[in-house]
Amino acid sequence: MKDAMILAASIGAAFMVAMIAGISRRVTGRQADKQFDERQIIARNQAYMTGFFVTLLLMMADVLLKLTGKAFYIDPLAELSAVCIGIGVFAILAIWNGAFLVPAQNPGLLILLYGVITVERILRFLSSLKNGECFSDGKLTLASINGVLAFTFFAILAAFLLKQHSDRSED
Amino acid sequence: MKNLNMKAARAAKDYSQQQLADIVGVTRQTINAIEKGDYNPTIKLCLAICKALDKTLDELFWED
Repeated sequence: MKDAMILAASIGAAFMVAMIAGISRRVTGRQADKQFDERQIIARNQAYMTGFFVTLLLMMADVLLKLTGKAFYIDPLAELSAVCIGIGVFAILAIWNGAFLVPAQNPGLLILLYGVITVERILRFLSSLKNGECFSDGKLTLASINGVLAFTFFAILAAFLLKQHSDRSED
Repeated sequence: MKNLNMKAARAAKDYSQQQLADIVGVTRQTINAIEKGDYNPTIKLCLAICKALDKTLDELFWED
């Protein structure tokens, strides 16, 4: 029951993030007629492929751990984490190859948005740890997904900031 | 191989990479990748760059 509530909350949070992303796109000036350029499309395709294979590998590792009886987590933590990490890998590769934002898009508000989400997820994870919700019978529960989300969003944010720094030194 | 012809033509026009990118509708990173020889642009983008820099395709993209 508790896991179902956490899952519902996670889906709600994802929906909220999608809504905020939509609003931020409007605020940062991304318009319908502005599209990724030809190099960005190729870079994004490669990033999609890498993200997909990372997700596939993690899901295979999950199956292997379950088959050998060494799974240290409760379903569906591994599946959700695999998807989350796969999306994170795609985003990081796209950011690093300059293929995350359309030409002339201002990344400022997006960085702020990712910063807020990262902090919120870290706090939620720490709260879950403190309340002992992350472990049950010696196994990781679905509440641990906040840790994976916090790590993923932090990695995306770090990639954004490092890329900005690298671009400035390139200019 | 680096595209020094394009870099020189851009410098002659006194354009930054960002300015040229804005004119042809791509990102600065794409212009940078073309100049560094990391990306081969399509003929459509080559023509847009040639028009922006008032050069011919041969002058910018032909290698002897």
